[in-house]
Amino acid sequence: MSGNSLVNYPKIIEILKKYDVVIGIEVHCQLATKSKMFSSSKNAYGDTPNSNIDPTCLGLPGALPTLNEEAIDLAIRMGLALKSEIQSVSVFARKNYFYPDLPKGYQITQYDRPICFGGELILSSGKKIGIERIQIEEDAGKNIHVGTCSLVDYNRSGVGLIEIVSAPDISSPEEASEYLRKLHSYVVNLDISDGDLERGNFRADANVSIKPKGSNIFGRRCEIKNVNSFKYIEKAIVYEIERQFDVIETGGEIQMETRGYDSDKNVTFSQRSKESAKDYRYFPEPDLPPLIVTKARIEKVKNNMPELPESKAARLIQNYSLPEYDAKVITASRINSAYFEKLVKSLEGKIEPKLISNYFMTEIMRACKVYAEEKGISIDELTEVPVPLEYSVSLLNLQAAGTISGRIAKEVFEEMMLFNKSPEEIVKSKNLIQISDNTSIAKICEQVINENPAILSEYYSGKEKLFGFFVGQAMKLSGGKLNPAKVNEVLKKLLDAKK
Amino acid sequence: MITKNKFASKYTVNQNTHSAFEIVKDFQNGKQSPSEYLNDLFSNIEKLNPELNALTSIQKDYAYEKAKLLEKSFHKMELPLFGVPIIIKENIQKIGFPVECASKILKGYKGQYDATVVSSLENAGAILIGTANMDEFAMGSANEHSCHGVVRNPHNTSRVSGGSSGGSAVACAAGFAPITFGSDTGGSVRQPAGFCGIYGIKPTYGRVSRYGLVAFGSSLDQISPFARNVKDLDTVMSIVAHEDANDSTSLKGSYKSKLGSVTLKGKTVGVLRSILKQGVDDNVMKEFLTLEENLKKQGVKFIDIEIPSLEHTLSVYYLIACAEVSTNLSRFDGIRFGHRAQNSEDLFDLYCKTRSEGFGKEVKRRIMLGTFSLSAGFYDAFYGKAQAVRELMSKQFDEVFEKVDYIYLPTSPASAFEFGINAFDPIKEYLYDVFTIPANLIGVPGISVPANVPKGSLPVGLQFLAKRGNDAELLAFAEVLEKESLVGTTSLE
Amino acid sequence: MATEFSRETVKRIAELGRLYLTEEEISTYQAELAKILEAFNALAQLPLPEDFAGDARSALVMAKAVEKAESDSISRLRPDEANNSIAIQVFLNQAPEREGVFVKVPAILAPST
Repeated sequence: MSGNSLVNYPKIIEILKKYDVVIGIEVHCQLATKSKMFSSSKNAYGDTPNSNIDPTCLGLPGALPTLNEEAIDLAIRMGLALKSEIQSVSVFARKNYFYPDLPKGYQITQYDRPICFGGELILSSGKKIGIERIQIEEDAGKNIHVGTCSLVDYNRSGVGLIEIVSAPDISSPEEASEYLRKLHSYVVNLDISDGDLERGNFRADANVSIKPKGSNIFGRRCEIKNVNSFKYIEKAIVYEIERQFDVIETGGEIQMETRGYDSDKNVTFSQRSKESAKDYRYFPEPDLPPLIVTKARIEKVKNNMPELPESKAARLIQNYSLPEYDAKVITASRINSAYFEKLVKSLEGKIEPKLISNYFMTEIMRACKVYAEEKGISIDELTEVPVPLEYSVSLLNLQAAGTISGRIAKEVFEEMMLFNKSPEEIVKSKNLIQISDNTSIAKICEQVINENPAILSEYYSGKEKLFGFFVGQAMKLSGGKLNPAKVNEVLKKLLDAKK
Repeated sequence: MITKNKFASKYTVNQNTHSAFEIVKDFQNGKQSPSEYLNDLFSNIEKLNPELNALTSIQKDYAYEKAKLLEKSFHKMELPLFGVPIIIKENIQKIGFPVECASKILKGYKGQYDATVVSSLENAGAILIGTANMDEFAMGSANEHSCHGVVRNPHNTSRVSGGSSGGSAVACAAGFAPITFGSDTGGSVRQPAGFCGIYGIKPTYGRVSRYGLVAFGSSLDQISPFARNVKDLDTVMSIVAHEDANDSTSLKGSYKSKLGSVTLKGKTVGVLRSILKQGVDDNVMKEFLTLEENLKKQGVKFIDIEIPSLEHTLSVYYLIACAEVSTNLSRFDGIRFGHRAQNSEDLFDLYCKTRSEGFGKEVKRRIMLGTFSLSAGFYDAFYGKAQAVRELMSKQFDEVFEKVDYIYLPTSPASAFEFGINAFDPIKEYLYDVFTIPANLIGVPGISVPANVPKGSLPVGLQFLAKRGNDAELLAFAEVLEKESLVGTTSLE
Repeated sequence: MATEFSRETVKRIAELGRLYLTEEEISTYQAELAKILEAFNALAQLPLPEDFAGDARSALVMAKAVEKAESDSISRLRPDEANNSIAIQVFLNQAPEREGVFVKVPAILAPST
């Protein structure tokens, strides 16, 4: 069991006293290629149905599959990131079944000889989750159910997928969710996939079973499918563990089956029970020769790989002296690190990366959180930082130049996000420019001092702390626009002089 | 007294007059225009096809349009098939042409893209004039299993044309076009070539692109041409036999003619003497031995060869072919094209009704067989084993080809048989298969050449196999035989 | 392996291949499949030379694949460029039933085998 706390799930804690939880996860990840896996029609989301088509992806008679080079490279990239053994020879296979969205009546996939075997993904606790295999295959079209009929769109038919199968090493719902988030961050950071869960770029199925603690015999597992958010997958797994526990404890038997998840009711429900009836009649795809991956190709892919989050974080810590936590958060997503790097570059020589990081960790991360909550998605599902880059650059510049104070900057940020106005506009319209000239400051301080004779006497009688009172009042009077450092300076001078 | 054959015409009396190479010359030097040529050609087809039933469509409008376009071209001298009319089996995709595979399940289906072979032919100036009848989904060896009706042999209309490319063979033999195309998965071009008295070559597997050929046995199929002389076969191979990025099983490079570079003296030919001991009809045996003698006189050496694994040809072939075709035919489901059953209760019912209504008996049989052999628990023992034996067979052939240049055997154990014969004696049936199937199993090129049968006799096909990749040598060898008049198209006259 | 074919088995195979069989056809196939099974069993029993069997064979197949890839096969990898080669109308015109830009089918009840 990982070191993660399970405070959210007290019942699970109880269950774990008696049972081990065994979870294996299969992820189908769409590859971010321009064309499809086995044919050249366009790979794009949201186009007019049945417009991105060609004979092969439609299963027209006489059509044949061809291999997309970029897709192969992306699969190799995934294998490298997960430290898998990339096979020099792998074989494609036909998986046979009838379904309207599967035009040929079979899916081209990989069966006993996939492109990668083995590998691992390490969780934050240090626990290694084994990877069993990575295989290349094609996606099916889309069925839309409309009353007594279904409508079929073949745009997605033939889009390249990699299926990443984990070993059943995951032992808790949190571990499952962390595994998924981490794997997701890999595919997005490495430009393997767009990773958009809503668009179906990244789909996870969880196989869940429980067994008596310490037993070597695995329990019957159920597969939870079609849950398209990390948050819900975690909840679904929690429910499923509790359900299986209840069944077993009351003397029942788990039926091996596929289950869906209802997020409104927070329950899993049975979808199919004919597990034993599946006979896919796998055999090697005669239209495709075995795939040969040379060491040269693997080297090429390695050299062209985007940086992994871990090494990016290490670099930020080393070059910019960022705190480890900040570096981790920034590099956890490609959009974060891209945004951060752009800020650093735009403000090079003017503002220290460390200060930019502070801004990022406070203002930016807060904005992301709010935005994600509004959209009802988790923060790692964002596809862009919701703060325009130019605004961030302007804001930081204004602060660095002393035009506004840190406090005002926070105000400006709020306005920026609420009304989508540039910092300059806001500062100008609200007249927020920091007052830094001694004369103006002195005038205000004088006023404050004169208005508070009683406090003044107390201050002079030894209550040093009341200095803060005068500062506060000066700030209030000025609407917070006084340069704080200067205020301290001027006030001290005045007070000392009047003594 | 030999009466004139009613299918005889100016196109069939002489092997060369209306050959592709002759008419291209005429078209290129302006002696005749392609559209003019089509006039008489279509008249002849329309007169003869009703009884022969070789063609399932005659594309007159398309052909004339194409001819007119070609006639305006400034490149006629560079087009090796300029104006040449060509017919394709109706399992080869061509935009707008019917590609029904002689099946109810594809009734009304028209090609939505061009097969690579079609593009190559058209780019070389050829004019596609029609589609040929066949056995349903290329399953059959007599063109008796077609929703369009049987094809008749022009040499004797009470006899079969052979199959599954019966329509293309007859079309060529009857002069409908100098060159026609079929597909050969287990002998479907060589056997009808033999029955109809013309030349037919199955290329090395992968030499001609399969893109656009409705798949039967993916690891066995080759689009294969018929012609009435060797030079036409050689010309068309130069056009269609090249690598294709759309077909991942196609071979590198392209066919390069070797006509004129082969001499008979010094060649070694292997004969599988043991399997010829019984079951071969007398007339076939006679032609077989005659050619052997003639070749010996010309300095060709003959040795007896053995290939032990041939004993398992049929099991291996049926396992592999049926497994592959059972999945290749899954796409015929009534969803996106072709026949869809009416009044289905649900999706499952739609699938089953559509396929049961649309597929003929032979096709259903192979789907059942193939599905069975791939089903859970049987794969390793059957399909896996079949592939292993296939490799063993391949190795044994390779060893033989180290000692011989060609392997010689009859194309079929008999001439064209009569309609209505449902079963042969088991040995003959075995020989029909074992003579042609091995070339598909191991991927070597094979050609059926027409023996010099006496006037009025049924044609006899004799077959030569060469090493993988030696398609050009094989054709060059056949050309020598033709030039020496040791073999020749059985003319209709 | 049994050389008898139950009606259930034949029905199961027909279901996998999405074919309806008449009672007569089921009987025919029972007999036919049993016969074929015999022939295939003979093949299954056939002893093979060492390098064509089991793991040695797998290794041989793999080695052959590498050799073939280097010698006579064309480069098997297609550059990643998008090219839609069938016009939407051309495809939909031959669809047995359509609704707008979609292909229409009866409602999908249970996911398939």
